[in-house]
Amino acid sequence: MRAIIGWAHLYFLFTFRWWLLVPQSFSREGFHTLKALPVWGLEWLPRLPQTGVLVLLELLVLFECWCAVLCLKEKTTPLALRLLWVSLFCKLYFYALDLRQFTAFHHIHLLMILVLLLAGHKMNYLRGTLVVVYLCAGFAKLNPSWLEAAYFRSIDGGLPVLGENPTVLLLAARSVVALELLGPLLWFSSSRRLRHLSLSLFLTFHLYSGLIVGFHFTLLMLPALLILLTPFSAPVSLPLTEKGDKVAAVLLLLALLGGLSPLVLSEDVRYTATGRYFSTSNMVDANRRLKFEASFTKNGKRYRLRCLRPYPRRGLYDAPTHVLLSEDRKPFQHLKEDFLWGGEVVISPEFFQNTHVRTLGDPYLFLYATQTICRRLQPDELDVKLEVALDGSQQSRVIWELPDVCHQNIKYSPWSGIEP
Amino acid sequence: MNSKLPARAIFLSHLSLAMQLYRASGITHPGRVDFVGTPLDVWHYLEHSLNPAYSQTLVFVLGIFAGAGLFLAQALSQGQIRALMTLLLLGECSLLSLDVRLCGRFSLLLLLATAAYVVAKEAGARSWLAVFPANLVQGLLLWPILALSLLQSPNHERWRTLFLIALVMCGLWQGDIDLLLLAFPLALSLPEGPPLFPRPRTLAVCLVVFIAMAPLFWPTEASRVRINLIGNHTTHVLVVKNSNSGTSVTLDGVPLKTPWREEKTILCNPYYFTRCKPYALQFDLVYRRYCEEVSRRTPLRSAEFQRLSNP
Repeated sequence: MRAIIGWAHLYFLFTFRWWLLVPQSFSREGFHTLKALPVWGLEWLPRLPQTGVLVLLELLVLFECWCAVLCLKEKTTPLALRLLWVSLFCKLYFYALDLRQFTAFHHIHLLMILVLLLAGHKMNYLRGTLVVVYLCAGFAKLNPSWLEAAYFRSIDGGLPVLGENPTVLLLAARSVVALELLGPLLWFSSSRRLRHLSLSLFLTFHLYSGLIVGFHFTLLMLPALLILLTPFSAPVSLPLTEKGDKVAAVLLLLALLGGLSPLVLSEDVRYTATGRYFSTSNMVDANRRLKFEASFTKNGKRYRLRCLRPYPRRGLYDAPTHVLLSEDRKPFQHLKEDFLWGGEVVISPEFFQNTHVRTLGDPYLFLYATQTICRRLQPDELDVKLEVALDGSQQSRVIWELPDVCHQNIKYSPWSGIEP
Repeated sequence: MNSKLPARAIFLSHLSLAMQLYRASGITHPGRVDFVGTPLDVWHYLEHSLNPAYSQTLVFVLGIFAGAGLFLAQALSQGQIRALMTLLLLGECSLLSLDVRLCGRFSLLLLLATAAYVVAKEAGARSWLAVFPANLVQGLLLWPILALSLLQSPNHERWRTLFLIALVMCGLWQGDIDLLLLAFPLALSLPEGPPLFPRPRTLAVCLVVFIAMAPLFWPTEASRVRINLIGNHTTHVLVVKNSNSGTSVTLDGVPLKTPWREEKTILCNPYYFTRCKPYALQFDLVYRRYCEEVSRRTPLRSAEFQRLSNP
């Protein structure tokens, strides 16, 4: 128990440390200069000045360090457990300030913290959370990107060690899906050998995937697996004897239902991003290429904004988003600084460039940017078009196209997308 | 109970450093082509650079070692901990030697703390706190309280609390959270460590050595460096300015925000300077390497740098 509470605090520590690199995502200045994408309907949340954000995050890093140290002693561990509530509320507050921070690993961490705080049989339900997390990851991969290995095949240079061989990549992609869907079920088996086999495969998978996705995800999952499932002497069970257990069970059920959203929603959610943030997965459901264009006129002058995100040159992430602007039919120029009008930021290149791979291609990102142009610039007219292509395909699909956006009554829902 | 807190603090910082190095482009071949990276003199600019996949694998493995040390310290013997630290020390030293621009105050002090632990175990790591001050004022505040905290006196607990408060205040003032995150648990470990006796001599030697070394690691004030690039027909002047608000580069008086190219050859990538750790900007090697590399890329009659007086 001490180890898992310590790990929970350490992950809070890392989270606040990472967020110190992007204080503008949470600050008042960042909000006004378009460096943050507010979560739907939460624009009203109070924001601190940038200096306040920096100091608060630094203090939170130290606070988490102190809490982790408390876990080193049996006597002070209950205090560290109670202090998780403080950490949780602080993280939730910052999390709700910028949708671009909504990543799968933070979702998983928050779910695990809630379960840890609420469940009666904490270790049992934390193991259950891992089951749900992997199942959701498996559900999100039931699409051609993974089942036909289109995603892996679209990565220039292939995968580390595995290379570019299509058969190997197909085998690898399907093995991941099979592992995530079947592996956790083996944890309920009475056969210790099967449980150990599944655990070893997951550990190997995380060590390997860490080479591709880096530390953020691996740091969360590897310690959780090791702390919760070794030595794995008994199968996973979810008793419902205490009130807290029932609450935790409901939470896990909701998380599982959220994870089913890619299968339940009628459209291809890889394009539309609908329901994306209600699952603990969907982080790497496809390789995307984006093209967004907004053309608008103001005082008789015509502007064209273009955002291009090509396929990565290598790996999953190595693709900068290019933000270009053409003024008065002149050639497009890279927009290196904020585009201002009347002292207000109307277009910020960073808004598009500092976006996590999970938010890439989400029409809401572009809707918010468009509505900001409408509000701050009040152009005569503004037309938009968003195109997305997946997994190396050169054929784009038009996701959102609308003339004269500023004079339309647009509704947005994270479950159904943009409704003009 | 000995929780091995000093060792965990060092492993935590190594993990943090590994995360920072994961996407460091100056050690990779594509980064060098884009004119970022300052290798030591023993490495040639382009020949000794890594494939990004290899560098990320190496950094990831180092991070996993650091994470293992952090989580499993309790189960490891002192010998194993020191072996793991030596491995991290060597791995990170070799990576930093490929791009000296990454040598920030945090990374250098972390390597020093690691070396101190390898040599003098927990006492060495705790006495490392003596190099934490960023200037003489902070030193005069922290050193006496640290010395009193290390001595096992009846007021030990009070001195330790006072030291913690002073350390956090100085750390926040310095604005380097990574460094504070290394120092903070080390300071927290002061009362629960092994008795200072019977090896007070080791501790005293460490403390004196570190206090003497502290000025070496004091962050620099603002700096300005002028680089004159004299060709056959043209002369260009680059000015690299470092202040509290960050590092800026101007080319012939105009701010340089994107790479300066002559046809397809990059002659100056502003990231070479702007993404250089402020501490590393005081190394002459950074500018000397730039002059050598730019001279290799384009024919110049001379390329030389000079430090200017602060504005």
